[in-house]
Amino acid sequence: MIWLLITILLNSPEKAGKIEVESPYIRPADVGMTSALYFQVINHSDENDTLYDVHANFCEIAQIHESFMKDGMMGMRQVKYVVVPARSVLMFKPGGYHVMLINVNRKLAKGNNESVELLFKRSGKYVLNAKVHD
Amino acid sequence: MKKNDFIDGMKNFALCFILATALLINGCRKLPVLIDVSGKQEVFLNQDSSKVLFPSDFRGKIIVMSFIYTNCPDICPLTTNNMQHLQDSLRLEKIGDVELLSLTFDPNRDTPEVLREYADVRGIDLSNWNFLTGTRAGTDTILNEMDVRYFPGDSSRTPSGKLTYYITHTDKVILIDKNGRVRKSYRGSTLVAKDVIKDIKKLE
Repeated sequence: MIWLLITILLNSPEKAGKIEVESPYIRPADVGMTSALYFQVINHSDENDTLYDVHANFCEIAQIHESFMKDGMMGMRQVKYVVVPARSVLMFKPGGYHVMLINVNRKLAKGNNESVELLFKRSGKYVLNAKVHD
Repeated sequence: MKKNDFIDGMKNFALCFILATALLINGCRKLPVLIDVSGKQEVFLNQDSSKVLFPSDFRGKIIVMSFIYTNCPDICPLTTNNMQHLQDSLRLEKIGDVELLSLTFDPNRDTPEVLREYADVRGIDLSNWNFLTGTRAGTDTILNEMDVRYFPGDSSRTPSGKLTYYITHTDKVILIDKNGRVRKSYRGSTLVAKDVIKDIKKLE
């Protein structure tokens, strides 16, 4: 049923050729700490797009990372870019892709909203508002 | 006579089968002892810089223990959030003799003050939860005992000079009984409160 809804959403004519980002949220963190941003990217277009950078003014560095498991241990690695295939949904979620927010410069308190820019190769800049929660 | 012998034999077999099954089921309900740390003694500091002796300060209490570091953006916050759900569930079920502990992989950066900030920004109830740090050697002793592995990656500095490195680590939460013996381990990132509570009840 969910896949049917996603298919209908992706084929909606007013969304053709668009990148859409849904359900963004950021984990709480205090000054100097590290946090993470999660979201869903929906590519409504017939062509692949590429997320290659993230900007956030509440941290020193924002980087795309991927968590992985190897030999029973959890690790993380920086990813330079992520391709969002045409007509697809790509999840940034705990245990997988996430945006790492390094050296937070103001308290990210639960309930607050923070603005973040995502940069896509084809679609350009996408500004999202993410709520802070666990 | 032969028919009676057969019937008696079948009855004895049925009785033995039932007894064996009952013993097997009863055995399966108990959690085996995986590791015994009751004889260990390590000194840690908690988030308030108070001294904590592990595990002796918690003798008589059941412990659920996680392993985290505060600069972990992804898995460790997930584990900590799952532990919060467990704490809420224990309160709802009025199970009172359980202590939650979170020991850091990264005592270099995770001072008591940093652990306190980590707990406070998440609104964690510290009434039965301690975040522990200590010396590298003391922390490693307990991590090794619990078969929890870690290794730091390459370090770098941000433009402002902040030291950054990430730690690859075992994703584990353990259940320790009132006598300091590890009885079960779980994946912290997928910890389910009701499963842990079911196991806690087997210990009582």
